Amino acid sequence: MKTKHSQNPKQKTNIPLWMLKGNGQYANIQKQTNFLIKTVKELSSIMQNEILSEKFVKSKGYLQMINPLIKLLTLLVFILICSLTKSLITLILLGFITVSLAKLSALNLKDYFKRIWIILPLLVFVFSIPASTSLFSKGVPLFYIYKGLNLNIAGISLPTELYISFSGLIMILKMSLRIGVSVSFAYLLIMTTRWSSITHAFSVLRVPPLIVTIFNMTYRYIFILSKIAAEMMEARFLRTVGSTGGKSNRSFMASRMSILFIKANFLSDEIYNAMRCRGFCGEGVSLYKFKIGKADLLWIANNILILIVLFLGELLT
Amino acid sequence: MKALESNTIFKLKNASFAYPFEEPVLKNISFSISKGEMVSVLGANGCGKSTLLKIFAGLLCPQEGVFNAFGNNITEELLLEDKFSKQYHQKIGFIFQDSDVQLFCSTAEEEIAFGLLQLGISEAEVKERICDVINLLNIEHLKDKPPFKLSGGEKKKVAIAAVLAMNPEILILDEPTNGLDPRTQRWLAELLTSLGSAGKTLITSTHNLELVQEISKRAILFNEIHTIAADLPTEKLLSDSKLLLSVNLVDEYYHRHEGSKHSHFHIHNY
Repeated sequence: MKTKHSQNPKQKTNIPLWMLKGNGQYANIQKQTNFLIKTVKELSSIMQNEILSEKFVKSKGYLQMINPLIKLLTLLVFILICSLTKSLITLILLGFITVSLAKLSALNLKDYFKRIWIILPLLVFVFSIPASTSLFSKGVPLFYIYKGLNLNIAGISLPTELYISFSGLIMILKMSLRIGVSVSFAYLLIMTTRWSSITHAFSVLRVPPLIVTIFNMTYRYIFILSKIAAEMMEARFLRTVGSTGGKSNRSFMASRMSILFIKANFLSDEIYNAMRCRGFCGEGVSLYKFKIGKADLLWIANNILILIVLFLGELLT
Repeated sequence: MKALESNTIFKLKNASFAYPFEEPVLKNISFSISKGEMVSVLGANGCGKSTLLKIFAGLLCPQEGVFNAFGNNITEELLLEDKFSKQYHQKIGFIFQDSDVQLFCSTAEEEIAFGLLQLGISEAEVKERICDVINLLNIEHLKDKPPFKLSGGEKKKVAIAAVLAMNPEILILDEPTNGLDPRTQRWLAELLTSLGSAGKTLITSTHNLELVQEISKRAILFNEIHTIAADLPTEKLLSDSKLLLSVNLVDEYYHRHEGSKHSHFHIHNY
């Protein structure tokens, strides 16, 4: 069908006539919950306002006063202990230390719990519950799911009893705590230290330049990517009049993710080029030099004491 | 890096470049740029201007022909040498079209310090240069702001400050006025004119024909088949509207108003 065009001789571009008229009211406008836009926007906002703007780095908290190199080393030691310990009490103590440090470093405790403890450790705990049953960990029964049943389904005979064992529950609790504590230490480091200082500390610790570059690149374009993702969502939202089905949403998400990957590739090239143009050859540098002060000495003394207590506790248990 | 034998800083001889799996964006390009020149690179979108600037900036290397910079024949291997790369980039300041890719540090101050620290300049000198460049561009109020909280013009100012702090001999600018308001465009034109008068070599790719006549004395015009259509003094090139039309840079309504001191292009929509 041939489109009719405007005949105005002053207009060089032939605008289709339908474009010169207004649109009527579309029938199938429905209210939609745009949780995807909300999620991406929230992610983008956290990246912008808290991590990238280094909001908490500038506050005068305890961890902010510590030399980044010493802080990095100490927190890595804590993460190592957390991964190696078999004691639940040690893990609980480490968890308590992370909360105390978050409080002393003027971080928002509500956000800290919401982002660290509510999501990952809780999910790991819930999804690991089957591992705490007598199917995988025998032991003292804590709670029976069923008892005295002789069931045979499709030639497979089920156990006569199924219960959650005490040892199984402790095992999954330790696993969740381990994850929560490790992520907490990483969170404390990122929220209270300038990124350039962290990468500079990595360079001082002789981490290969390639790894430092990967860290730098990730940090540097994650914001731009989250912004692009939010804009793509908004662009679709603005062009969506009727309701969209789940299939269409999934297909949209998949295609946007692929576009984001392509853009990420392009951006990483451009940002790396911009860094090379200013003499970057893989080495992390920082405007803020590492100096050891009284706060660092106090921090080291405190942590040695904590490590001794934890070590003795491990020996005794 | 070799010492300069003559005033020539860049020399391209039959240089061609193509991105992987694509048609060449530069074909058989030959010309040279001397120290202290103010050159504009003009052409329609996609004609290869940005690629040419990236070659000058040592980010790309022509696949065919010769690219000579500061007396050295530039190869990819040479650019991958850390020592050579640092020396090369110390001489050249590149202002990207998209300021977002150029601003990757936490604050404007760190952004300005980044290049200086990479070059191993002492802490005291870094701080002094930051202070000087901040005063020069009048961006004291932006010092502690994260780059993504800046407006388009402010981002451009910080990007320029970060490059100027390294005191490069050559400034390469890719579409510097894109997305800037008229006031910031004016500020930029004046800054570039001052830098050019101070002896810096300026190579600018732009569509802004008003800017071209202020910041360059020589203009290189690309056509849509990715070769050089003209290499002329700016005034002469801008006066030749047929030539500009032939490369699709302007349309038939475009014309120039000559005045005693100032001339400009604009469109009459009738």
